[in-house]
Amino acid sequence: MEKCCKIKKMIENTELEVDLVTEIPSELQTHIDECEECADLIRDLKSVSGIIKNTERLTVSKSFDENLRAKIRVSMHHNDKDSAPFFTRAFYYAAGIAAVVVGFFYISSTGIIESPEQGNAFATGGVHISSVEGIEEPAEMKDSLHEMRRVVIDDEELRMRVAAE
Amino acid sequence: MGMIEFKRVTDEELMFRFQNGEEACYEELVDRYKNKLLNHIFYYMKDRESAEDIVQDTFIRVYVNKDKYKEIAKVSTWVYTIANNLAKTALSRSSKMNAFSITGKDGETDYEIKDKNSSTDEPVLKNELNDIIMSRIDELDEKFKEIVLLRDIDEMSYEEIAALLQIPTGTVKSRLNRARLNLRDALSDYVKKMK
Repeated sequence: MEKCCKIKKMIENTELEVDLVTEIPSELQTHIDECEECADLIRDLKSVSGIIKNTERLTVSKSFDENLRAKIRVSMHHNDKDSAPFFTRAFYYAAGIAAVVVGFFYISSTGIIESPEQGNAFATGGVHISSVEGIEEPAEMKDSLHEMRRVVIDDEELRMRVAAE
Repeated sequence: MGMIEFKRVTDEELMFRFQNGEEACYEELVDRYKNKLLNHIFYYMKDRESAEDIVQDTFIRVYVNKDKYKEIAKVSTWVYTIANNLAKTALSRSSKMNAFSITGKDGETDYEIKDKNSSTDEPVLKNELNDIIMSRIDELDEKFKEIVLLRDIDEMSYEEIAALLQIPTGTVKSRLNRARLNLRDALSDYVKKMK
């Protein structure tokens, strides 16, 4: 005997809502009463729905609420940091830049830094560093080297003179 | 917290009151959705701990972004969308994306279903049945599986499912119909036992 698929086809074509199998229209009910296949299908669908709905459900752990509160606190703390008002952040940036500038002028005023173009504008001491040619010996050192060379030459001349005599 | 006080308050009203500073309304929303979301996410993650983490992250986002919620969408849609996105990110991060198109290859999935029954044999049978149902649902095509979970496990209305998945209500109905027919075949042994 050929199986009847009337209800199945109706469900597949969404002509009959699977959730409404409990409220079958009267014209279909007559068919179901006479058709074992379709009656079986309706019964099965009701069972399937019941089985799924009655599955055991998980519940959150006891510490769920407590953990959530703690995580929210941490999250809000981070957000507060990130979302500081514009002027607050601008103030921090400006303070940083100001500190760098003041630091630069302070160091310059001690005479450690001198650019070749500026000559000795910032330097008050005798030491200077060229940013282009690298480190040069200080002027005082230059003088003393010159002096030492002269002493050596003098010594050499003296030695040669003695040797000649 | 005043459970009775909020019993008749809609989710949307709770959200509105929370946006206006009533923290208790947020706690009520958490109470309403925490277990539903846990079960929903668990079906994707297959791990209770990860699922619970995602549920917590979802509620943190709800809290932090409360002002971004607009009443044009239902709270449930908004909350489930956040949770789904987090779950998908977590799955892709842990290379478990195949869990969305389940094949049940290993058959070793550890479902930690809580059993409240004190009967000696019943918990075993119930857990076994739960495992079978879960694996049969998993075996469904992804689009059918989603609908079954949302309708039968999360007990959402057709309209809520349609809004969440951004598909027409008619499509929700037809997918649910097909999913149930497929499950009828997959669970035929158990269906017969129930007759």
